[in-house]
Amino acid sequence: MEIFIQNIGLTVLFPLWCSVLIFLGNFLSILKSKKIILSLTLLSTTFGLITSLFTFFNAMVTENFVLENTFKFLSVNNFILELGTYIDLTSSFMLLIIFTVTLAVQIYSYSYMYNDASFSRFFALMNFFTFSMSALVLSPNLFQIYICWELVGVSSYLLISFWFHKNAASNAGKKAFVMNRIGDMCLLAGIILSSIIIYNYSGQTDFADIPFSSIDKIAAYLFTYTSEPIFIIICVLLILGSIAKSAQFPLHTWLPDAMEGPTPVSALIHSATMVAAGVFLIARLFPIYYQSSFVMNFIVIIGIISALIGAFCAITCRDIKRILAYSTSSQLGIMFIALGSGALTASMLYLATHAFIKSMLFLCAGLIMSLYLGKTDIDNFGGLKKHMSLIAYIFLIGAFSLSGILFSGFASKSLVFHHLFETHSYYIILSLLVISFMTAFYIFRMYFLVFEGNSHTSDNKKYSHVMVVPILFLCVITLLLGFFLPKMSTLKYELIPVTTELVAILLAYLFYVKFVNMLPKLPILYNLSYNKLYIDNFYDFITQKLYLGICKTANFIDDYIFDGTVFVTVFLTKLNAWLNSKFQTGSVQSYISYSFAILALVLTGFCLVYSLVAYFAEV
Amino acid sequence: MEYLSLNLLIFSPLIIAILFFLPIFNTKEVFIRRFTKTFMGVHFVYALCFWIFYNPDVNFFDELFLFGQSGVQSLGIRSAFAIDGLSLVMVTLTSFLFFMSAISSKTIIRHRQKLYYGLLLLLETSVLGVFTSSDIFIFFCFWELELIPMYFLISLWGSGRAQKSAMKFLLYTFFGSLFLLLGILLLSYYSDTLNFQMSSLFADINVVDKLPINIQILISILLMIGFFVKLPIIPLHTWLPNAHCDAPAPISILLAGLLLKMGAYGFIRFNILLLPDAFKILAPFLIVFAVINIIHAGLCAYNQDDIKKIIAYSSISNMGIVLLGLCTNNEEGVTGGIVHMVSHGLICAGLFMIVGIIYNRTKTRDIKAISGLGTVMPNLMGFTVMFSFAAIGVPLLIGFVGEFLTFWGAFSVQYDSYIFLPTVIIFAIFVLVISAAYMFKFVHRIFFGSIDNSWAILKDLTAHEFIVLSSILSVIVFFGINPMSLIDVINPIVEVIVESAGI
Amino acid sequence: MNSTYDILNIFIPSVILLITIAVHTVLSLLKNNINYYKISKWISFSGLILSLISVFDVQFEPIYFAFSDAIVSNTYTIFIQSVILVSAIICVLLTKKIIASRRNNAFTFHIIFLSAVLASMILVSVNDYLTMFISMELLSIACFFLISFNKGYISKEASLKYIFTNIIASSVFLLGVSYLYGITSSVNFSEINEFYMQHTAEWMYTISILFIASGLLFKLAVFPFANWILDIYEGSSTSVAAFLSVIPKVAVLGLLCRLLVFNFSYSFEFPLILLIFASITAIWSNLIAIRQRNIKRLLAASSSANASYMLFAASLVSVYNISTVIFYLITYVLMNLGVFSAVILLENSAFSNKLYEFKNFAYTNPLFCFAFLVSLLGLAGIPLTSGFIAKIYLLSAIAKSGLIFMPFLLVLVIAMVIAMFYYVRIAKLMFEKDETKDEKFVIYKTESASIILYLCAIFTIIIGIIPDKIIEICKIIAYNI
Repeated sequence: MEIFIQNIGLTVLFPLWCSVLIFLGNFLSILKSKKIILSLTLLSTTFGLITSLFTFFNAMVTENFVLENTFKFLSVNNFILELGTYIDLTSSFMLLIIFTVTLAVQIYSYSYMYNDASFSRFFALMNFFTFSMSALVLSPNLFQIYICWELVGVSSYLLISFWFHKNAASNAGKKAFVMNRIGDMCLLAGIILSSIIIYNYSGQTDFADIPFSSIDKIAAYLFTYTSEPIFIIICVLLILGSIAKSAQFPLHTWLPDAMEGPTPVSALIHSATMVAAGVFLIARLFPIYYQSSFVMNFIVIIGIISALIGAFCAITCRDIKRILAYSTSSQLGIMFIALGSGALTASMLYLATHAFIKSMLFLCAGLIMSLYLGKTDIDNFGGLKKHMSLIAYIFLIGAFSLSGILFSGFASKSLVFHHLFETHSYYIILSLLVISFMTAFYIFRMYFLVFEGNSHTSDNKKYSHVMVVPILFLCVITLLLGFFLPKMSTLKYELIPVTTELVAILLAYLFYVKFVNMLPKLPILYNLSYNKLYIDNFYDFITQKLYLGICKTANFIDDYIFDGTVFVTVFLTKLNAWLNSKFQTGSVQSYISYSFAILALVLTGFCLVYSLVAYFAEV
Repeated sequence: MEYLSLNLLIFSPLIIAILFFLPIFNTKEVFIRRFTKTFMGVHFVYALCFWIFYNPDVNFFDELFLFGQSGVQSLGIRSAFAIDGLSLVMVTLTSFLFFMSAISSKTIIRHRQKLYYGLLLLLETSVLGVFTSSDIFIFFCFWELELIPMYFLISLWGSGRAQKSAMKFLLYTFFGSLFLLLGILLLSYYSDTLNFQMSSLFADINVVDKLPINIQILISILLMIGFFVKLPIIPLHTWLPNAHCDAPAPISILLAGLLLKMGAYGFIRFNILLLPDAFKILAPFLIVFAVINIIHAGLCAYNQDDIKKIIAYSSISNMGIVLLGLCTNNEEGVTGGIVHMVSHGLICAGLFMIVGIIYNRTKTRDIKAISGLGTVMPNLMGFTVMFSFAAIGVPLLIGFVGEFLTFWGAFSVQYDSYIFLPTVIIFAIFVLVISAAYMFKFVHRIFFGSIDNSWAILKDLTAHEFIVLSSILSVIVFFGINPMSLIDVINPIVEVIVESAGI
Repeated sequence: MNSTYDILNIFIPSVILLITIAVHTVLSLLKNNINYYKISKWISFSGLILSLISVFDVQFEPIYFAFSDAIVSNTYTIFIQSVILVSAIICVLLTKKIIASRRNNAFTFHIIFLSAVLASMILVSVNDYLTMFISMELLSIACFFLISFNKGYISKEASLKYIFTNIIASSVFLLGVSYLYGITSSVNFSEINEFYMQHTAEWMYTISILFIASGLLFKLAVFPFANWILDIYEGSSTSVAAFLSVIPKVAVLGLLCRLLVFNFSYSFEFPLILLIFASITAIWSNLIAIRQRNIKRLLAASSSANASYMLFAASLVSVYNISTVIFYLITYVLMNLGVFSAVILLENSAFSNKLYEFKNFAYTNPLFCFAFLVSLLGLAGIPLTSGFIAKIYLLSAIAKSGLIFMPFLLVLVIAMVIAMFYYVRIAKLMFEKDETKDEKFVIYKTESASIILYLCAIFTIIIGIIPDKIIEICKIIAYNI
């Protein structure tokens, strides 16, 4: 057990080696067998899972468990950046979630991707993602967070546009990367600014890379050595990084598009792990944000807006995966709300339960899609309960859990509500109720449309049972996890949200099973929701028109002003040369007369200047 | 270490080139090609030995002389060469990129090979001479000498409007270098002897200390015009897109990888180390120029339809980062600037190589005409994606180290009297998004999406191209994971720079 | 007082040339000299060689004055004279074609040729304006005949143009001399010097020396007297053009440097006027040159430009500047004669003077092309050639003269950028492949012109790499002006 904990760095490195091995093996055509690839991957993931389990239990048992191992990566002057591992309760907890979900998804994707030509590329990238994600949660300092932040972004991008020959996947990947890059830019700016303040002003040169082991001190220094606006700017920049990664408003539009990637990717990266990194970062830097109430409120407001927008868009969405994507964005918003209102533990637990629930739902969706040859529109589905009752029940469990009525979802959500009620933040509770209502509504809408009703196709669908195993595994966790969570809620804190959600389910039942359709009567709202609040259109305008316009202007300046000057110079030179050569008439008379004219000119000028000088000298 | 001769390192390419041009050396072109390749490989290993045995504490390579201790003594010129950390890095990079360029020439250069390889070797000597000369006059001599082989390489083996672009390159850079000459002449005018005394680049120059500050600034600006044409800094950059576009791929590698670095190198040697007082005054303005460079060129790159122009503008933008780093006046920023010089040299070389391969296959450089090449050229796509990541500064690749340190240095710049600077510098970090935008526009348009039928027959990388790309990439990854191996070498010179120019 | 022997000593080179002229005259009187016209070249050659050898026998110091101070002889003049002799030797070797086309006048040609050389030699060492006028006229008339030696209408027209413009220039010169005589009542350099030691210069003095200088500027083809040069180079045969581009220039610049140091140095405005003239010429002639498609016309413009560069340094009078001018002169002679011998070689191999004819040379005649390239790039000022060193040296001299001359330096720099364009264009043309011309070019390699080409190229490179000795010599010479 000690050995595992001491060598936790290997959990990070094994996936990397796996990734490199698979890449090179594929490149040099040595490693062809899919079974070997899978077993390599599973080996490293299982090792990671075991290690993280041990570590987690150790961290649970030991009070203030901290273990840090670092080495120097970059040092200039006294400015030293270190890489390594840093384990405390939060990181071991995150690590456990990551490896659990990863294991499930990797088993699932073996059969999901079995027939794909780029099987090995997929597994190499998945392993690379595991590496970067686990390195992210094990970061000893903010600097390593940034490195891994970029790396998970890269692997996410590569996996979204995994089927690069599809235009949609290609565009989605580009969009995801560029949007994430905006966040990264802000994060980097934030990191650099805080690092500079620590390094240059507080005199604590050791803390230049913002180590988490002394985050409390750093928070104090940052707050002391900056003015209020600067402090807020730094915090907002750092939070913007989280916002982009966690698909929060206003940088959330990449997540629905990211569903163009293979479903296991959506299940692992875009629901459970990578998108949670934003929440993880806020949790890590909580002592800093906690210094300013403005910053905390900012986080809450971002969370509320994103949760509302995500839930609102999910209601009318037709794409089976995009509904889940909007839901993810919305749920992450709830975590932001919890963080912003100070419920650190609650939000981390919410993150865990959501990870399992959402990846399970995604895996179910992937299974359904694989039966329908990759169709995603929920209108194509219907009555699937007859064909795959097991999946339907699992999905139902997920739906109940997600909406927070039963199981682990209920437990974690009630923790959040508990905290909010305790702190009397009633406007947050109100908005959270609205969000819960919408959540229950859209997830059951999805359930009813897909599994209930009439079957649209009569084919007997068969699915691989290997794919069901990980789903079941995740389902079991979802069912059982709730019992491990701390219970502290009273009945009144549970009753209100559950009632709201049950009403929402009833409404969904009426709408989509009994077809008491009211939505067309609200065309404005419907259009708003269906068109994602026109945010995508707005961004399209910005990228397609505004940015391109700026670029065109820059290019115009370049071509016609900078290069134009050169061109004009050359042209003038040539013109001058032409004019001069006109004097080469070939007739000696003209030559002599030019010479004389110029000589006379010089003389006149000379005499003029001379007499003027003489005149003024006299005066 | 006594076995390592700097003269041999610098002049051996020239000797080989002369051998090629001699009429007795009348062999087949295949032999010439293979010979050049082998020679450059050996040369690279030799240069690597310098790196390995380099010890900043012991000045083993200080001030080696070509013709004994002499030079043109009547003019006060010493034909002296020396190596310090900065030179060492640039020399090794030069040797490496020339090796790569020679390997990659095989598929692209099909005719007049003897002349081609001869000029390539001549170019190598002149570039090496610029990076190692310790006398101002010798520096300028090599600086000028580089123009002629480059001109012929572009104009004779280029494509498109190669003739015009080559002439534009020649006249533009010649124009710049004459300003450099004016600066040097003024410097010699103020030197203590009546002679045509050219001072050493390495030794501290007492003469300069005596100069009145306005003269220093004048000289500094004149020198800067020369360097900024090469670097290039807006608005002196317009030769670059044309020259890069129309040059053959191996030459584009050298243009982007080395010739631009000559500007930065000269800037460090002259403007920072030689004229630190003037530099201190000018630095805030230069930072503004650098930021404009970064943003403007990045925006221009996005709007290009010519794939080579995208990369060309991206290298202009990157040179802005280098300048920004050098002007920060703190150790982190200057280290960042120099590391970025190296990293951009490697990355841009790779990218130009890729673009050259695409052009060689498709015979078009129009981004709209090509799509979905990834289906038939997966390996090339893999390399392109990796190089793009390096170019936009993804961590664990060398591009990140330079960018990060530069931004760190730039953000902590302290010029008290210039309130506007922080606001300007903030804009520099937008390059992270801007570069991602143009790089991925390039990658996605070319490789992603559905493939056109006319491109379905294209072949993936050949062995030569594969070797070149993978070796450049491995260097990028090596330094990205282990940046200290580079930083340790340049650290002494960085300390000197900051000491002389620091506030 | 000098003994007769000393005077003879000074004049031995000239006397040898006179004897050679006499030999030619006698030979030209022989009836059927057509048959042995070939020896004419070698007679001149040996005469010039002998003359050159005898120069080394001349005692350098102290300064000698002869013919009642009309002629002066010192290290400087003797050095310039030997430069003239060396260039004359080279030029003689280039005259094969013109002599072959005018066999019956071969000896006459050499008489005129040697007279021109003699006139240049005397011109360098004159010490009063009358002797100067005489030697200048002798040079002009000889040049006139040389130009007209070519066959065809264009040559006759060129020679007439030359003589007309020259007459005008001479009369302006004489006007200037008469002014000066009016002021100082002397035409002797030394006496005028002494006069101005005691008197301050009037503005009339400036005008008179401006007029005097006009005569010299005409020979140098400097604005405003530069128009003639293109037509005349085109009209004359290439070997004569080579001669015109070198020998009168060396002689006139040599004299001008002396005049600027001793006689023109009392006027404050005069150097400024010269500088302005030089800058206009630098720009003008380079601009003209980029439009030329005929290599001879191009070289004419280029020689005018080079003269203006030297004028830049010369007009900012200092010993240091004079040394740079001398160094530039030497390198210029080498490079220019290299280029001209290449052109002559091409002409002899039945190519026209059009630039586009140069295509493919790099592949058919690599060695020839390389030598030609060296000379061209030397003129353009590329490192490793003497032209580069010369240009830097010259520019440094101007820079050292003071900050107020920065604008002129800038003009010079811009002129050099323009010059780069046309030199490199010629070089590039040689590397261009023209598929339509498939016949194998043959350039006669056995000719003396080819030897000169290679020698010039080799020396251009050697001086470019190790200019030390030459610069030392130039400095010594300049100190002894």
